[in-house]
Amino acid sequence: MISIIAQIVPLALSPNSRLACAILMGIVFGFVLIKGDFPIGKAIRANLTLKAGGICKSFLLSIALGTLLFAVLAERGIVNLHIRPAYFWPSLLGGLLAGLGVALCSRVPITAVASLAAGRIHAIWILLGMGFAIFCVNTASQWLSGTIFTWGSQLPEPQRSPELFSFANPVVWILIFAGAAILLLQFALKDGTEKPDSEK
Amino acid sequence: MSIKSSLSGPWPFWITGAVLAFLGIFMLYLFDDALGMSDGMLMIAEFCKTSAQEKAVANPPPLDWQTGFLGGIFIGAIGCAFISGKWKIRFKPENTPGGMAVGAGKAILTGFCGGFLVMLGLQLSGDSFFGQWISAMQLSAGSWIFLGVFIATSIITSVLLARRSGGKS
Repeated sequence: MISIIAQIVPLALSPNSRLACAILMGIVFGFVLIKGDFPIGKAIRANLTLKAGGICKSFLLSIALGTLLFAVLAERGIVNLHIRPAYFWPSLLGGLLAGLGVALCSRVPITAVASLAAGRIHAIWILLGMGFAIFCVNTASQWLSGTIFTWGSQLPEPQRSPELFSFANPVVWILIFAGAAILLLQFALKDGTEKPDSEK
Repeated sequence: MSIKSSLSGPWPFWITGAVLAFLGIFMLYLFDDALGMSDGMLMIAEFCKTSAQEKAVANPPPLDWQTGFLGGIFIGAIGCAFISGKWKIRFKPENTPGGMAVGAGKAILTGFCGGFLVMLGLQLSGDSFFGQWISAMQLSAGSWIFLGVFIATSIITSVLLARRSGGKS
């Protein structure tokens, strides 16, 4: 069994197989997003205003579990590290602007697409706003390349820790923090998931 | 729990969270590439721009794995919304105060401005939200900075906005 696992390497599918797999994965992803109420504005607003905690708990758990899975599988060479280069100030400024935007519209790109699919026609305005932002950034790309995109130094790539379960490994801290936050949300807030029409 | 009830009924947070984590890492294994929708969205924007300039759709929309993934999300979300009874036609967000015209006007304003700010932030940070989420699992410092500031800003702003509107939004 261990020798079989040791032989597993990333698949790195060819373009056509990649497209087919991406569509299938997208279908599953869209299904799970709706199940988790991620594209439902009412549920998102309840979570953002700390009146419910279901979506926050799902998000925290997905990051904590994903971090642990990646650390275990990367150590065995089953998945490789694939991150884009990041800079301190653009990341911080980007988080600030995106946070302000989500407070207004309660969606990020993939949840806006899922929201439109769930019949929320008003999500079309969110997608139009996003399209306009891409147009503006493309138009101002030369100016941005010489200013904001170069602010601060490039952030270092993550270092692998030799031991998975040691306090020197950030994965352990992420698990502890996420676990504590999930427990706090579990006891302090209700889930706030939207009931289907048949159950109302 | 039967398959039918598990498909149509609500899922607890731990199932949703676990499935999302497994899906993200499984995609990393399948594609062995940086995951994120930013390139796909740039291609769609470029396609819309070309079509608008030529006032005709000469070629079909670009189809690679990123745009295919977005299309898959649309299909999966429609299917799940119908199965779960969450499919509702709405022209304005739920609980928006005011009549149809006022509500739709607010939806246009908040939706367009909100969407603009979200995408502007994502473009500045250099990746889509999906890409930031996957990168955070890989312990990318930039993604953790982005997500930390994003979560803090969105919660503080939402609480302030809710207070200002007397908890109606």
